Amino acid sequence: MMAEKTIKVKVQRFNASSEKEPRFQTYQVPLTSGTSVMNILDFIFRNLDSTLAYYTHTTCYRGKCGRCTLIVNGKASLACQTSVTSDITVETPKRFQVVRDLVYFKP
Amino acid sequence: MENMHETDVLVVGGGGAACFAAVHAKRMGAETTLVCKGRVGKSGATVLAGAGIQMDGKSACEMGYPGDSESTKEKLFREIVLEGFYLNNQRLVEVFCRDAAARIKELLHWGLRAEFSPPGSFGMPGIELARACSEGVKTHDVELVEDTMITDILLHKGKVAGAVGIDINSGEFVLFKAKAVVLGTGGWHQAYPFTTGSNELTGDGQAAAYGAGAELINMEMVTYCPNILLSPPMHRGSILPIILAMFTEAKMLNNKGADIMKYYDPKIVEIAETTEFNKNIWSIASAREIMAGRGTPHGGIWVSMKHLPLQIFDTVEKRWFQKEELDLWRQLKEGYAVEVAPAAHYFDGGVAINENCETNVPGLYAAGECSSGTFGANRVCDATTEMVVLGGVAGRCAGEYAKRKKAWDMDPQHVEAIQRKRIAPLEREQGLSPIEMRKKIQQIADGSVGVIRSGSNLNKAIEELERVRVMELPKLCVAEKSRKYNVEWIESVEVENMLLCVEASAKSALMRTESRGVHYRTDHLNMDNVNWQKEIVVKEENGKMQLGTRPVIMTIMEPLRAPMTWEQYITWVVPPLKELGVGK
Repeated sequence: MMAEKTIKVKVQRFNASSEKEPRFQTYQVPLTSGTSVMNILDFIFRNLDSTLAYYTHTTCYRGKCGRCTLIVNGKASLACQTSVTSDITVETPKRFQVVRDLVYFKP
Repeated sequence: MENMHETDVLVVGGGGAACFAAVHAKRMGAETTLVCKGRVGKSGATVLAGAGIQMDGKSACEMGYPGDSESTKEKLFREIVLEGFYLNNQRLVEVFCRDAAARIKELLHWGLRAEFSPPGSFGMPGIELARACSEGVKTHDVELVEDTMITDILLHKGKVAGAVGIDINSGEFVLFKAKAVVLGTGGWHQAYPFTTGSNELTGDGQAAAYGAGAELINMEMVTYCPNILLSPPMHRGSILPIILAMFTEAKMLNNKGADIMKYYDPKIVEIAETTEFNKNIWSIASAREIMAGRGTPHGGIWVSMKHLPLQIFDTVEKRWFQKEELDLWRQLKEGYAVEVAPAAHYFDGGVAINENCETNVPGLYAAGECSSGTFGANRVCDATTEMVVLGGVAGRCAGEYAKRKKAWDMDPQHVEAIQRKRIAPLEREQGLSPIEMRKKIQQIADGSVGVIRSGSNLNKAIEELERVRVMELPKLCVAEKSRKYNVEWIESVEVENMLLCVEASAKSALMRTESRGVHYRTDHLNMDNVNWQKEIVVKEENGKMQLGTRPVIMTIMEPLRAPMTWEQYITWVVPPLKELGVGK
């Protein structure tokens, strides 16, 4: 389907072995209606930047497993069940140690 | 090697089969480690299961549930073989019927919250079933290693000595020394562009077993589920439309709005509406429309409920819908159609096992969807029952084996060779991306071992798959060089696994010159009962993929003799199934 518009997606990047602080990288992503944060991260990884780390290796996309929880625009959200309509900022919850980028050690 | 675990039985997986295997191995007195690609209870196909879990009605009555005492184990056995187009290993079907009640009793003991419905089924959301399975593991002192993907099985003189894995977070290798390994890793759903299976299902168990010399069988048998939501992206894979189509007379329409079932023999249409062959018939009818260019913008068909009175909408049970799926529900109620397509759903074939869940490799076991299992050429009965039953058998037999055997030392040279091979895509400066290869594999799988197959498509696919394996696989290269949670690197292992599964599937599908169960070939519409009541066996010999055949194990029901077409079989089989109480 044709993209309806392009949005800015601000994504937390961090590699503890080479960086002191997390930083943000902004991607321009085409948006179609009915798209989730997870769909957006998949789009970035598969089309724009395959170095991005986000929790994807065992995810259900149906809001059942709860493993894709991220902070989206400041609010804890299931990435797969949060729909995107405009620019977003995606980061990890502050209280957890980051593995890399958007992946953190979950309790 | 920093990460080293020593155990008697290593169980691989995180769903019901693996959990039950771990519990039962532990009960045999074996030290047991459960290694899961994700988190136990939160990953694997179990989480997304529909889900029901069944036993025979008579056993349910004996357990104090209001079951149907006329529905016996013998009837359940007949049902599974009739629905499996006689390709079932009947010894395994006997085990399914024998052990179902005992395993479900265990689940209930672990706190499974489920609703009973006659003759002998329990219904619950998949995530609840997964939770109960993981409760069982928690109460049995099993060592857990999570977010770790097993890549290879280690052998000592042809016997299992352990396994190698990757800790996905750290990217470090993990070594497991084990006397026995049980694989419960599910199917290879992600080799298809459209599937109901979650991300981790990439044929890891099948590929590891094949690499260790194990046989794979029935790899051509892939069950599709029709009427799975294609769009919007957020709800892609939702099973809501098929549930609606089963409980109401929802219509399936092509891009012109024509009812796609109107071209079919009314008898076949009726079978689709009243039996569980709806999966097969609707999938084939949908695939025909899509292949003929009469599909929707996203390559599917429409499901519409516009013709139904609004009151009918109120009769549909909505409590298992996701909150967000209610939007789709409202859309349908307002008269809009939704886009759906058949999705790769369940893998009937897999690692070949006998009734003890043993493979041909001493010390290697498989259970659940990852194994060749109980369903032959077509699954109707619950895969959840198969997973708990076979998980239990595999754990018990592996535990017993491990107690009798000594541990073998792992060959350090072999371990090093494996690690070198796995690291290679990280070390290459340039090459091909696993992301592109995954896309290519999905396209090939969709076009050759999908709902409708043909010799010419299979030949083309096999040529392309062999080229990808020989020319492209050795050139895989990932952009990120850090090993920490490197998605593309993990995908480099996954694409190799999926490539193997699709190649085995396509070669088996080409060899099977008939239509049977979910294997439907336009160039061979006959169900060839003279030549093809056989399993196709895929195995690596001298570095090459070799195919062979062997007769299906039949203990109770005699082989079919009469020649018939695929359509004639399903017409023939409906009355005996009705006698067993199956169908509307």
